[in-house]
Amino acid sequence: MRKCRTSPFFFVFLCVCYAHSYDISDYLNIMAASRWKTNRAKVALVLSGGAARGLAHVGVVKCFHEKTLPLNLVVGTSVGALVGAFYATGMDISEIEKIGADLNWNKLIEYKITPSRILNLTSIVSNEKMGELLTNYIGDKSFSDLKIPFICVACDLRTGEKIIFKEGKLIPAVRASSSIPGIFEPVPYKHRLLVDGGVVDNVPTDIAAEEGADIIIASWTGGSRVMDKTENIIAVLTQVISISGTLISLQDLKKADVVIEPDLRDVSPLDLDKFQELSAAGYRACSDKSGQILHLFLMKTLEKVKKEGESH
Amino acid sequence: MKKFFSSGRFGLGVSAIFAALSLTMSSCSTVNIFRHSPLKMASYLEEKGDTEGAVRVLRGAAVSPRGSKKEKTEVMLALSAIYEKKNDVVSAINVLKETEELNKSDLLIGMKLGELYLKTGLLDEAEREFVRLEATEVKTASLYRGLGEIYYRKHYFYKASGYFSEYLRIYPDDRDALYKFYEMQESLGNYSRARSALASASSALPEKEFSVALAVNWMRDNNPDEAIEELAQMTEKYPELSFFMGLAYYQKGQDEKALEYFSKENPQYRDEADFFKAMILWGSGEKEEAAEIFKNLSEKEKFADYCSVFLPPQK
Repeated sequence: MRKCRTSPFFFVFLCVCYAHSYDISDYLNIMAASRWKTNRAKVALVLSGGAARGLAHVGVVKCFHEKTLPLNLVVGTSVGALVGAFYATGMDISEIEKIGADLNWNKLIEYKITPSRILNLTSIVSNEKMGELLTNYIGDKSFSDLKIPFICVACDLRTGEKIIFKEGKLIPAVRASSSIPGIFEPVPYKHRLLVDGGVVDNVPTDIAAEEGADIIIASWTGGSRVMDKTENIIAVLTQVISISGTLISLQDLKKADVVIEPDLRDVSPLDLDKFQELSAAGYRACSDKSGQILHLFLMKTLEKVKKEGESH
Repeated sequence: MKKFFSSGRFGLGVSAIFAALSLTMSSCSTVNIFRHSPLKMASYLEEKGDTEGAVRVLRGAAVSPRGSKKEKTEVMLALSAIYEKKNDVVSAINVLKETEELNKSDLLIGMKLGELYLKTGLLDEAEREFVRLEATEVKTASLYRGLGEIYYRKHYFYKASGYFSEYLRIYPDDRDALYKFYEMQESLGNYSRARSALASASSALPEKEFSVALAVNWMRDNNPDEAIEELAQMTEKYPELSFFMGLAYYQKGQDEKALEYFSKENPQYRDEADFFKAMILWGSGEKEEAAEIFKNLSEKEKFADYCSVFLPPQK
């Protein structure tokens, strides 16, 4: 511990007047958490795909947690499934941040390409390391063990069907949902061969609606940045996926009541090393919308209180 | 020995020592000893109200080729302090930045710079400065308070709470810090921790404000009984607090009792009391009377949206 001359009472000048002012929304919020508990609006947070860009979701869930925003369901696809699953297990945000900060491609992938194998490959990299990562943090958990209800989406590579996971073991579901086709190996599951859910549903707002969410908040980290030059094969593949993902997502985004869109214009889907920047962008974007989310929540809750009153 | 002192050799020795001393003193006097210290001169001028003169002296000393790095650092810190007193925070910051360049190992400069950035509202710059200090293992109350304040203002309450906790371990009676800690804990949903911070900061709050804050805290913690107990005596002294009493009874589901308090004369919380009164009337089937209240309140901006839920859609 180094010594430093300080001026501990410097902050005296920062003193504020101590009269806290309350607002009607404070009182409504108190009632929504107690007397109107059964009428509380159900809020779903939908986390999109977006490869490394999706790490911005960490900032979004951090904001939900810190601002104690109402949350009843998390739905995720691809990297959104990964972040959503961690959060739904009740994992401490600082731990999720640590995982995000430690991520790099070398930790995730194991190159498989050798000249003799190139025509028989199903992916460029093996899934083993991703599997290890999930096992370390999620362990043997099932959907029923989660603190917050969670759903994730994958795609059956054989039939193109959308596969929705909401029960059973968590790891195969999250692994399948985040297996970017061509880059990670497809995940065999029962009689299916599963890849990234972003192929068929990059922002699963429809699932949130089917689950009866009154308010759907979409955190959208897809979108395709401008690719200035032809980069490596993984960059080309992820760019192709983001372009198609963006196109299919536009309709889904319309179903969201609030869209949180972090400013990721300078981040590519491969920039795993930009975690701090990504997470901060997610937090900022969510903070900007937190007032709107709370207002919407109170409005919908009042509507439900009214509806219940009418039925009596 | 006696012989030595009585001999002329002793007198010769003493004279030689005096001669050497006087030579040293005269050489010192030409260099330093009798030169006026710029800090003293600036202080004298400042006392006489000649701040510009003080700035000139310190500026001159700062650019002078004479003086050690340590002396120059002190001069520049003094110059920055004068600018700060003059409320010229930009100049104060610029001088501190120059000083930091001159003496990167002096952590006080970084600390002062961080504090000034914070004072000016330059939160990102202040954060950068404090984080840099933190990385050098500085662990002082000022640093904790500085980082806590930055994150508090940025609304990063988890991070801010950590630093405030550390700070409050050193200064457990700092009421400003306690009050902010209470606000953050309340916002994070840690109602019990918020309550104890509020109790510790109670002397900083007027009696009425404290009572309201505590009652709202209990209600947030879904404990209206405690809120009622807290407010029971206060409503006699401050009749306007009857709204909060009504709110606690409404939370409990005791609508008649709530209605009684919401109906009391209360200009300060009239609209809020009317809103919940209308909610009770609406719930008990007296929809027309409720609609009338909602309609009146809907003309007020902060109630408009919420009241619109209970009113027929406007054409």
